[in-house]
Amino acid sequence: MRMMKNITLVFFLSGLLSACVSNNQQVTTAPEADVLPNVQDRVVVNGEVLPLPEDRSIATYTLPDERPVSSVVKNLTRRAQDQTREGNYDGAANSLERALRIEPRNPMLWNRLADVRYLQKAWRKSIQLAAKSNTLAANNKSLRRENWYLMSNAYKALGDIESEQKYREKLKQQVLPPL
Amino acid sequence: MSKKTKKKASSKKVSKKKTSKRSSQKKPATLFSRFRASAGWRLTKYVLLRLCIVLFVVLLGFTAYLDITIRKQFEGKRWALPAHVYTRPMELYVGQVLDRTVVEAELSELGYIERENVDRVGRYRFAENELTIFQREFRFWDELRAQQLTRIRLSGDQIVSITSSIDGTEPFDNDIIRLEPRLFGSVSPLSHEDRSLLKLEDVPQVLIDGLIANEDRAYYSHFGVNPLGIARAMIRNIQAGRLVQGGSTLTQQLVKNYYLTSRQTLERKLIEMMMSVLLEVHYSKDEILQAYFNEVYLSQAGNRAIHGFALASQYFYGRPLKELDIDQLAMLIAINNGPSAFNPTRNSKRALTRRDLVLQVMLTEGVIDQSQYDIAINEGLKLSTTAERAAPLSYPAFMGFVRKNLQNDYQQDDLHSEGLQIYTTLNPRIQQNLEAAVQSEINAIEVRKRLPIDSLQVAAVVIRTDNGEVAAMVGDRKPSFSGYNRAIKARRPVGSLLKPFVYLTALESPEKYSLATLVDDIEIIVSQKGSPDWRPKNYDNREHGKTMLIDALAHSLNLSAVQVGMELGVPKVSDTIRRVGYSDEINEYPSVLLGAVPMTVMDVGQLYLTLATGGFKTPIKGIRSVLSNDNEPLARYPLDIDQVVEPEFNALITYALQEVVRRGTARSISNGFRYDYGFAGKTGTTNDYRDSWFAGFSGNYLTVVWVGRDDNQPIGLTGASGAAKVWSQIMQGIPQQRLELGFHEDILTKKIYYSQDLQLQDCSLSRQMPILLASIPLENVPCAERIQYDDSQDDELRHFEPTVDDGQTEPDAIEKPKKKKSFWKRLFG
Repeated sequence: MRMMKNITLVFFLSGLLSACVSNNQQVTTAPEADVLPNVQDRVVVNGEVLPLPEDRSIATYTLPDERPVSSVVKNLTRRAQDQTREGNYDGAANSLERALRIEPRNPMLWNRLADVRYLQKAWRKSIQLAAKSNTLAANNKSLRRENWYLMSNAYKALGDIESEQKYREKLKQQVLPPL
Repeated sequence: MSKKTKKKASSKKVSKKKTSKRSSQKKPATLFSRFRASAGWRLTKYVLLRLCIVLFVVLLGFTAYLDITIRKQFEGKRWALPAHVYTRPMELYVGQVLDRTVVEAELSELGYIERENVDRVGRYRFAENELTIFQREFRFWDELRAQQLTRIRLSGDQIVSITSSIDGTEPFDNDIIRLEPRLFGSVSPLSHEDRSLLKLEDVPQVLIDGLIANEDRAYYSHFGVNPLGIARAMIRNIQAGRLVQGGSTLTQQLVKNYYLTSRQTLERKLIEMMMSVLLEVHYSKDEILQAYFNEVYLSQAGNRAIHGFALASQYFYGRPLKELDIDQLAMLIAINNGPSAFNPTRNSKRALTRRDLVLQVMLTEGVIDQSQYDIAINEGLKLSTTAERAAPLSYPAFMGFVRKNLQNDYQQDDLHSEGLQIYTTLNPRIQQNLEAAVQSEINAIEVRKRLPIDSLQVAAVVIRTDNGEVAAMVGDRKPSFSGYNRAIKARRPVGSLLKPFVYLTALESPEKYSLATLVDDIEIIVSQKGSPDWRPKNYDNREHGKTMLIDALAHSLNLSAVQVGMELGVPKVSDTIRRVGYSDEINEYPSVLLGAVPMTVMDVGQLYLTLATGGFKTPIKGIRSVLSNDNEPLARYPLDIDQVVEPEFNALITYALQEVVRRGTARSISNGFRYDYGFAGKTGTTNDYRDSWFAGFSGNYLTVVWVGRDDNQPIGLTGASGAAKVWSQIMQGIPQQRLELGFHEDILTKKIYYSQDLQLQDCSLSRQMPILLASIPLENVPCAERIQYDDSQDDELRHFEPTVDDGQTEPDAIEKPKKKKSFWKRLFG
């Protein structure tokens, strides 16, 4: 519970502060529009010129919390929580996998699954799942911190000091950026 | 068993009487008493007595043997329960967009009937804004779902609420429900028999009473054989002059069923009788009846023998026994009477007539009343479409895959006899779509390219990218063929499909390579010890000079791939291929760079799945979980991922694969889609156009297709003109999600300037490209040196895809099979 509060606080503050941070390292959403008119890049099919698909190759990811979390996923997550509390880890994993079939790109679900594996002491599995959560976590710094925290502990349990240190460093660095 | 001895005893008595009578008439006391006293008589008596005892013992032994046999049969060492295999369950949840046709197809396949009144299990109704289903009870691998009436409320296409009520009690909210999975196959022993265990209490009373009334009225009162019944039958047969009635009891029929041959010799008949009596000694009437309902042979479906009423119900009507109407139950009794003679799929008229006869008997014996009779007699056949096709929906390619997976974890014997319940990942809607797409497109290609009909073969697999589950698979252009399963068995060289892994290896050294790095598409001679020098060529026999890495991949240039590959080293590239998921041996020759590694579509799928998941190797799976016959969970196959490629590198190579579809060799596939899903893919063509490959994925599905000939002759198709076309057709029928590359803080979108051509080095063109921070210093190349890729010579129809060629044959002539070159020689050219 306390951890949840802290995380929410960190997230809230970082959300405020992110507004202050200058954005020169961020990726752009749309391609810049200053290409010359006679550009040769086009697709010709059956003699017809088709416009190129919108080059949204590296799109910024909307914050996961902005997307509505469906009630189904919420309930399955709650069910997984109950199952975890009862010690039914396989059941919890099953519920989370079911939720993942509905929302495969939800980083929170991957993080929860990593938690379950962690509780089962399946260190390697939990590390991989946390890593997967991070690839989807975009700007959700608090979730990424959670994942790094879990990964560093799991590495410690595996005896991989080097990796443990690597993730502890990441945690230290990611403290609130200067205004 | 004592009949014979009794007979002997009685005859002896008779003979004794005779002798005494004779002797009393002629010479009374003397001869008889003399005979009796004589040694001859004593000897005879001695021999006869011993003979009797021996015969008695032999008979006893024989009976004991029969006893053991029949008990063994009955108790089920031989009556093995095959493993049952289920599809994935369709899930419906609040917020989901409901596709009515898809849901109806699923319901109908499960045997649900559309009715105005949803008051019985097995019915549904699709009203304007509501879907009501009376769901059957089902044991899922994680819970036992009770029978329930479910209401799904829709607003337009979307599900807004789901409520269920059990036994008419207060309805409760259900945010997610599952339709039960469909049983589509069984792993059965060599005798290809199939059974579905039925308890007597699950058999409708009408069926029990109807069967007894029609076959063996005195069932509950006889002791296994019915001598009166036999006598009656004999009289009737003699009267009619031929066999019109059998006198067999149900018990006798059950015993007969245990023997595969139905030779009805007198000897066999007698043994049958003895066994029937023995059976009745050991087991109750109910137990025998239950075995009967499970055991009797009722039909043949292809190479599967259908035993038991439960399976016959599924086969003929697509529904469980409990849900059948009276006329359908009567039909099953008719079929039981003569499985070939009264098979409704073959002799519908005769079958109907017999059914009516059965109904009549049911009426006269009081099993049904007049009103029930009147309704039933007027019904038609009402067979399910499965039966009408006379081929159960069995998905042999996927079953082969499941069997292979199971063999790793389970003994053959267990699979055949333990009654395991196997829940798979198969999605029958996608499978149906896949089968239709493959069949239509292969035919279309043969016509379009003027190839001989039925010459092409195909293998394809559709995999979910979120968890590696196989949704659908075909191993033959005729998907219902259960012969050679190409999807898991046909290993063919993959051509350019391995190029992305060459460039991925390169990109993993960002201080040396980025997507914009200029690579040399120029001639290269590779010397190898003990082999002639290898001189690979591009498809168009041209050198393209300095080309951006991304373009080299998108246009599948051979020379640059070999150049880059040799610089990195073949072992390093092979390591990448292994890391990404190839578990078989790789002969590390330079030809690996151009795909001289034989793989199945599953192997290729495993590799590309890693890219599709963002760099996480995910084992492809066909099974979700396995339960024992007693519903104990035996195995779960959970999600198991392993990060083998850094997310940034994965994003770069995926972007390049998207370029293959945007501007490269696979650009024709976008035609079939209304929206831009950001497909990433790679075409593959092998030497002499023998194999046509395409592997491509969206945000949720990965599909790999191979097209070729079994005799390995050239087909004249490139990856683009063959497999990609099939791929496009398949993917158009699956609801796609856009492929998102995700956010990576170390990747920038950089504007790369380049020039139109060598003469006009004006840096007038530019394009966006993702570049890693670490690669930024590399891109300080004068834009004058970067030339736009010249695709004016690309022939969309034919030369979209380069092949390895020794330059001596004309690119657009199919090489006539001269003599079979060795595998390696073929790739070397």
